[in-house]
Amino acid sequence: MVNFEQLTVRGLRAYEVGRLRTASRVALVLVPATLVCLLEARTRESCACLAVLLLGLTVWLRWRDRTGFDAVTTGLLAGSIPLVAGLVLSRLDLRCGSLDTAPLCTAFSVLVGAAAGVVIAVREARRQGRFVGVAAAASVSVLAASLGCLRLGIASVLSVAIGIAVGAAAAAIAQCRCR
Amino acid sequence: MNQVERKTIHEAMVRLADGDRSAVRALLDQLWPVLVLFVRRGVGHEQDAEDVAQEAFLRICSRIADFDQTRDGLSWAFGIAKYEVMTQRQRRRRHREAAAAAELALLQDPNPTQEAALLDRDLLRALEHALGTLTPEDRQLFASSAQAHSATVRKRRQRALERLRSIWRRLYGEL
Repeated sequence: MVNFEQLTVRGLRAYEVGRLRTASRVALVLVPATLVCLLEARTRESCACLAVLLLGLTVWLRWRDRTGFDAVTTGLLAGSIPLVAGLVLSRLDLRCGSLDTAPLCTAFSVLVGAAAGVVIAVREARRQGRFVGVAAAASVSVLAASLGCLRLGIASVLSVAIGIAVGAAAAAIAQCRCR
Repeated sequence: MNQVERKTIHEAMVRLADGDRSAVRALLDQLWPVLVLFVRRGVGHEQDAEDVAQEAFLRICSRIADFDQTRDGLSWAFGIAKYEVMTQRQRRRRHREAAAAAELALLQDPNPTQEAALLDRDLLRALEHALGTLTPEDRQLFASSAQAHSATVRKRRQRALERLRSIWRRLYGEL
């Protein structure tokens, strides 16, 4: 005879393990990105810290519920724009610390950040629980962008974060007005 | 099963896939009767049916995060249950084969007559001849007396055995 109480508990345990396993698959995307970031000796420790933080946040969000799961996908997709842009810029050996290039770096960071923000707003507009989803996606996006922009300096990281916030807010407002 | 029940099961699965932990009990209550019925038909063995249904339910819970909500939940659950049924059938077949081999070993006479010994020797010679026509890799599989723990080794052994059977049939006719 089946004990339903026991089976429910076992089912719940299997469910949590399964969710964690599915959530952990995000590492397949994050680990290669982190390895690329770790190639730069100057920012290695900060990059490792950010990567651990990003991995922890994404796994937790994906494990929690569907909203978190979708927010991580959106966040990583949006965050990949500044991440790749940051990596390309650092390959070009641009010194963002100097007075000549700082405004250019900041403007560029805000611009790619805003592009990421628009992606977040557009994708999350289709889902329910929008504010939570947008906030989670933006957090993931900022962390992912930081992996690429860290070597350009803290000003770049902050500019990207501001860009993401501004882009997401502007796109959300524009969508609200359109309806 | 009517469409309403089917939809209720699907909705419980969607809730669980979305992260609503309280839906486990609801899913168990709604899915259990149909799951047991499905498994019972597949296993054909009353005692094993509930065990297999439990395994299937745990597997469904463990994989529900990957559930595609555009698909029918019940069909998806039955897909997993079917796999569990097949696994159980394989387990039973292997168990039967092992039991038959053990029975055969018990039936063997420890003091055979001269005629039986002669027949055994002929049979052994014929088997050595058939084994000789196999590839060295296949022979190696039979030579290792270790238990085949991995599914790959078991599968390779099974295929080598099938090849040996076909060679035997070609040389000496039907078994």
